[in-house]
Amino acid sequence: MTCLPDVAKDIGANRIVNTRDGHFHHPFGDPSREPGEEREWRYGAARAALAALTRDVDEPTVFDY
Amino acid sequence: MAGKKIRVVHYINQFFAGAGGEEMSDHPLTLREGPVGPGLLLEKILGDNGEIAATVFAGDGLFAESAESLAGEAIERIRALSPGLILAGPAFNAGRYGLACAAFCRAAKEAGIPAVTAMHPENPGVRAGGKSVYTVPCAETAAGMEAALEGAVRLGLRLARGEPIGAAADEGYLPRGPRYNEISEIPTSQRAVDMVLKKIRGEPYENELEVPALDPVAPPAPIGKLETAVIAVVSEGGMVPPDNPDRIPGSRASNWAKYSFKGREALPKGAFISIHGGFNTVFVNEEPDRMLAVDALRRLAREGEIAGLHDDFLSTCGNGGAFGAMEDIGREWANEIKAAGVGGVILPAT
Repeated sequence: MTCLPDVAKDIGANRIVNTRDGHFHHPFGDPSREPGEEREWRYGAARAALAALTRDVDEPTVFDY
Repeated sequence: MAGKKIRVVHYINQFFAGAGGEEMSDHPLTLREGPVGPGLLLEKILGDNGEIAATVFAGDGLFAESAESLAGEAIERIRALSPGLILAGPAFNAGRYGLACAAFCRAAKEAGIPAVTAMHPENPGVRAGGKSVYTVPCAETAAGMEAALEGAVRLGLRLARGEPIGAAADEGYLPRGPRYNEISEIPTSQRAVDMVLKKIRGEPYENELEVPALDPVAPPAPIGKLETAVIAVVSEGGMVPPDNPDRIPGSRASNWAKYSFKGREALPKGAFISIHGGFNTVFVNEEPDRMLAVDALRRLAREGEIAGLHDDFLSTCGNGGAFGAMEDIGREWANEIKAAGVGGVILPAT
């Protein structure tokens, strides 16, 4: 889970979720949202992580959330 | 430089000594006066600069089994010859021969005798030589014998004469790791911009730092059935209990610790704090799930999307982490998690 997918690719992570609205200060958070919305956003990010784990990849691959 | 000839001791393996192939790989350590095998060509290249006082050889297998002690024994035996230079190989891309040459040169260096070897850059002996061994690059096979010996002699004579040795690229040896300071007239910012412009234009450029080469990691197979998979969270975000009981440092960490999510449906403020020294930790300290997503993963477990969230949480701090230390931690985490029967891992990266 990262907002810096190019760095993750460079070091060879294979399943990369680009959290975009997340940040390296808070990869599973977005403090700009209301608390309830932020929790839903995080739930979606966790689902995106799980979805990436089910995908067949043969090289570092970025999944956008 | 006119003067007396440098006395060279040459190390080769049993094959190049003509003592046999693989079946003789346990050939004992042997010392012969004068050149043997490729030593004849070596002596020709040395010309008036040096002569081969002796040739030492042993079986590759024997050396591989007890490199350090055998190299030490060899150095003891040749010390009496008061060699001015030890030249090992060339080992080309023969792995065990390369390791033997590296061990021999290391022992020579410890004994205060200048030493040089030659091998193919991919020979494992290059890495085994570490910072103390000068290794000249050469071809993969003995077809490159003459060039390899010429390169080793060029550097070896300079070492034997005690001349100062410059950077790897200038002197023609493989980089060993040490970096040398030099004063540049052009400021760093301008050099950086120049370099990026050259890169964009597709022109050759020289990096001032060695970029570590990372081994590609083969992607593990995807999870087939998420609903039967236990998912673990691991992180380099420096998340620790507030008293940081394992004293994980905020930068350049080499240790990690295991904490627990057991009994937690979400992580309230104060459950964990981040001691990471490289980002603004205010947000995750306020709400640790902004890093670890325990609330979301517990919900996904309740909904039956996954079998569960693994109770153990593996933690370190990635700030300024050395590649080697981080690789070790990753390997230990993988073993730990595999043994626990975890099906998939999420790593929030800071």
